[in-house]
Amino acid sequence: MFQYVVKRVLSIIGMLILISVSVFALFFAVPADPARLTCGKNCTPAIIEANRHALGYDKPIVVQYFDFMKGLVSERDFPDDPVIAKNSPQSITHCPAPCLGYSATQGQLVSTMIKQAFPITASIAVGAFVLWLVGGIGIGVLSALKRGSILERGLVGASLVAYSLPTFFIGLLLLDIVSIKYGLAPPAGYTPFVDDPVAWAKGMILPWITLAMVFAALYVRLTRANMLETLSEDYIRTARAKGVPEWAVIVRHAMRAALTPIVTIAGLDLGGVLAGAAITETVFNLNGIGKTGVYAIQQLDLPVIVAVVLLSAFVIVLFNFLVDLLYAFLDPRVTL
Amino acid sequence: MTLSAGEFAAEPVPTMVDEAQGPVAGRSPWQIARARLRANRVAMIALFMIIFFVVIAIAAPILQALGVIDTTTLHPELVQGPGAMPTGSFGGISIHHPLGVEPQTGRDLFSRILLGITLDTAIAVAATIISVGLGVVLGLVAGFYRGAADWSIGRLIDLILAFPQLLMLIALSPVLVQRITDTGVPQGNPSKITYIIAVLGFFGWPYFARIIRAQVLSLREREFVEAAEMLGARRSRINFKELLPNLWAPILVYSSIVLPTYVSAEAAMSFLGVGIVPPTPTLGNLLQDSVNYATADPTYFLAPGLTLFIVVLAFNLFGDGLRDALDPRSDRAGGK
Amino acid sequence: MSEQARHLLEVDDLEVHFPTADGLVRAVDGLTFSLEPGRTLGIVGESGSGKSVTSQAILGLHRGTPAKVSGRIRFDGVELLDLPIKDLRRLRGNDISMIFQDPLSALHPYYSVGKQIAEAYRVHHSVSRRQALARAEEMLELVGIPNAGRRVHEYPHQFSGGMRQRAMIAMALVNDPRLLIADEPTTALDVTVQAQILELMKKLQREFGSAIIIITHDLGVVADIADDVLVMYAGHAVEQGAVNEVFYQPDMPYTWGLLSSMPRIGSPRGQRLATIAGSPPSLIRPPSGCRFHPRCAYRGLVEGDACVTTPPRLVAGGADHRARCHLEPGARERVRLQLSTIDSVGER
Ligand SMILES: Nc1ncnc2c1ncn2[C@@H]1O[C@H](COP(=O)(O)OP(=O)(O)O)[C@@H](O)[C@H]1O
Ligand code: SF4
Ligand SMILES: [Mg+2]
Repeated sequence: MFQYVVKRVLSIIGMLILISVSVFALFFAVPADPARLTCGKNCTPAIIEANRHALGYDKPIVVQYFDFMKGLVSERDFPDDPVIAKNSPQSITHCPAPCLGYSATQGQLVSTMIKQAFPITASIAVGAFVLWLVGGIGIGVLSALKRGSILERGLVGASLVAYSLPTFFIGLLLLDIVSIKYGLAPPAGYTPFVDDPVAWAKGMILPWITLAMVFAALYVRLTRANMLETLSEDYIRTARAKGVPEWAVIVRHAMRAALTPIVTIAGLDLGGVLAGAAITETVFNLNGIGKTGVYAIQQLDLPVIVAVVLLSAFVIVLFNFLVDLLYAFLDPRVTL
Repeated sequence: MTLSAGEFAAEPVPTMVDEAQGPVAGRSPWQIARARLRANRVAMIALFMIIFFVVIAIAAPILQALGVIDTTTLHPELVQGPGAMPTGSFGGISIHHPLGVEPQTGRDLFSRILLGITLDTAIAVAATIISVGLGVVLGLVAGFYRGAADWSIGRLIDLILAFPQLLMLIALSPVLVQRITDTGVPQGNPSKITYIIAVLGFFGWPYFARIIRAQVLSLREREFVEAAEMLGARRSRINFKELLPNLWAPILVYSSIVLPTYVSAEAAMSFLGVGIVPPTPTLGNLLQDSVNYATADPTYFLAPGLTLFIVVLAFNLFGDGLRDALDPRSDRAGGK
Repeated sequence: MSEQARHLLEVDDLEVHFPTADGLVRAVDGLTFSLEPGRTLGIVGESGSGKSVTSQAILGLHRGTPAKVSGRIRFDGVELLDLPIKDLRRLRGNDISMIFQDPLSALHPYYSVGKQIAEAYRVHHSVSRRQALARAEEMLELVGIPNAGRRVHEYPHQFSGGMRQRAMIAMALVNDPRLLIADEPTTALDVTVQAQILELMKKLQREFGSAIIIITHDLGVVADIADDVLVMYAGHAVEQGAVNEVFYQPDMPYTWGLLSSMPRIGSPRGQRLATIAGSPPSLIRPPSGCRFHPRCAYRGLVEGDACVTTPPRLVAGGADHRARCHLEPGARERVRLQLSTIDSVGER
């Protein structure tokens, strides 16, 4: 167990290094000039050059990579230039570790942007997660138990419909029709939970429903299929042959087995959503990780793109690991 | 504790006839699956819808060339007043424009949807072929050669799956579209289409590779057991001819899952601003534009959205039927 | 003792049909047998002949599935087929219990063996978890599992095949059932373990006086443990009666096939039945006339085409012996004679 954890952590670190290298290789090979984007309309080649130097884009890409990696453990200054530091120290942005870089486009530290964005993404993710897990599993179990009934057909059909609709279509439908036209739901927006929990929840309702609908549809299908398969297992028949009451057959025997893999898939999906729900965030104009990433891509804001991709990959890899641990805990046949 | 050697039970040797005998003798698994599929009304309707869409996809460019449909001609006379909304009821529906015209431009919506279907299905099919091709080749290599090849492919899969996929789909666009143009593909939409096919195809192969690899390994195991019984534990070689029939079913089933997600992905990419741009119509960019008119011009809003939805739904319904036909295990669930 | 109570179990004209996408599967058709306390019935037949389906019907395990079950099943005078599910549950695992065919899949992978046995006990006794677990441990010891105190906390996958089978038996016996149904309890097992398990069942029968139905395709097992035997083919009883009669005066070609492929004295026990040419018929469209006719080597001895056109009825051939075959008694006698000479020649 301990050995396994050490091995996995090492492999995660290796994986993240590999990812960071590929991300650098991919994005710093952009044909567009990132320094160009740092100054507005009244641009002169001299300003661009100065900015290029100030942001370190004139250094070889390998050096830039190591600067970035160093920043994760030690502080950095932008621009990192002793001359400027001496002449006009007020124009220097200090970036404490872990430093993810500096977005010249936004005039902000990337870590500051991430710190602002993550709670929004986390709010969307956690609420939607609860909703889709409860809804998806509940409806999935119900439709498996009511197999062949009209109710089952309706539930499965509805989930297939939800599953086949593009996320942004659902989101915009909710936003434009339900919220704006008919005022049936409060408009989306972010209020920090600690400030006002009620306002927080109100502003999150539509994003939650949007994101949860797509996942719930998937989970209904997964849960139903797993339940049906489990219910046809021999050990379910054994439980019935023992005289176990039906509710216990379903809860203790069938659901215990059918939902274990679902829980782990849910873990992976939660990781994926925490890494940014780009579409939902964009639809509802919430500046979470996903929208920050999308905006950075549109602006070719390289430090932000790199940071967001790396952070997302980190969250995904981390949740992969957690899910494996959880699975070993839930399924006695799995040993680490 | 000690166990007698006898405690380790040998595999039960089937007596007389394997229990897994098909209920109706003399039919191949394919014929049985076909019969089941044919008996599934929903799947058959879905199949007819798919055939219908494929016919449209093939016919639309021909009709366009013949001048029967016209996706490009502007009709400023049909969009007037504030916001240049279509004149006439239901988005300007008339004999010449069965679904009305686009706001602003007055282009014929019906024609654009037909050609959009062509592009969307072409993109999805091409990307699926790439995913299947890469996945099958790499899965076969991993399963056959195992060892170092298997390990490297496995790590590559881990790496690819660690990236936030949607974000990568859009983040790579500025980097790669230019590269594609550099190789001689015409600038603009042709390069973008190539890019979309390539990234969707690329990010999809790991799933196929995993399935194929697992299939090869389990088949090897079986072959080995049989060979061991007959020849006294000499490893037999599996040839592709024997392998292929066992790979078709999972490839088909998984393709039917993946293909509609590629159709949705095209739409999502349009929504996030890296898709194919008008005047070339895709269901994605039509929908992306039409959501701005959700309340002002419902015909325009609903037509591309519903078309996209029905295309995706048809594939999903057919995929469900296919899965049930090829793997009807859950048939037996139930009991008290 | 009243007349009714003499039979512990009476199965009358049992039919189990499964509607499937490919057609109606007639898994069991017109099965009739009975069983007295303290006695053992062996059910034999190839895979797919309907043995497991029959045993599951007794416990009402087809309820709530699309399966169509008809006929009568009376246990201790109580009609089981239309017994309310609540009352049936009181019998399940308590008065009638079952050892399933494949213990690895029949045990829940996520619960310890002890918990699963304890659950069977707690369903029918109001005791604490701990008391039930103690009882489970006691049962594991009884069926000969060493280190029961530790093993009770282990999971099915940590048990070997023979150990799992014992655990299954422990679970089936935890409530001292009056009827024990064992579905191929030894099929997957090594000869030595098989013998131990059969010995265990005999011992438990002596101790508790339970009736046993043992399902197997090993005639050696039947000869070893059963008083009566029921031979099934394609959902039908083709021959049934006291073991002594059926084994020494087998009356129809399928049973002849089974018996002649039975291992002789001297050859290792537990060897499986050899092949009877051909494969089991479709249960959706069973052969016309005698269901065995496509594989029967003796139908030439029957005049006309009765074997192909007319289903033979189950006819009494002895005091406690019935068979389903058109062959004349004389013809049967001749074949039996012939077979026994070939056998004895083969043995020398
Ligand atoms: N739930 C079911 N649905 C359809 N067919 C079934 C079902 N259960 C069993 N059968 C069929 O009934 C026949 C008898 O099965 P079974 O009683 O398990 O045979 P065995 O004698 O080997 O125990 C087999 O052909 C099997 O395929
Ligand atoms: S009835 Fe005819 S076919 Fe059937 S077992 Fe007897 S002889 Fe053979
Ligand atoms: Mg069986």
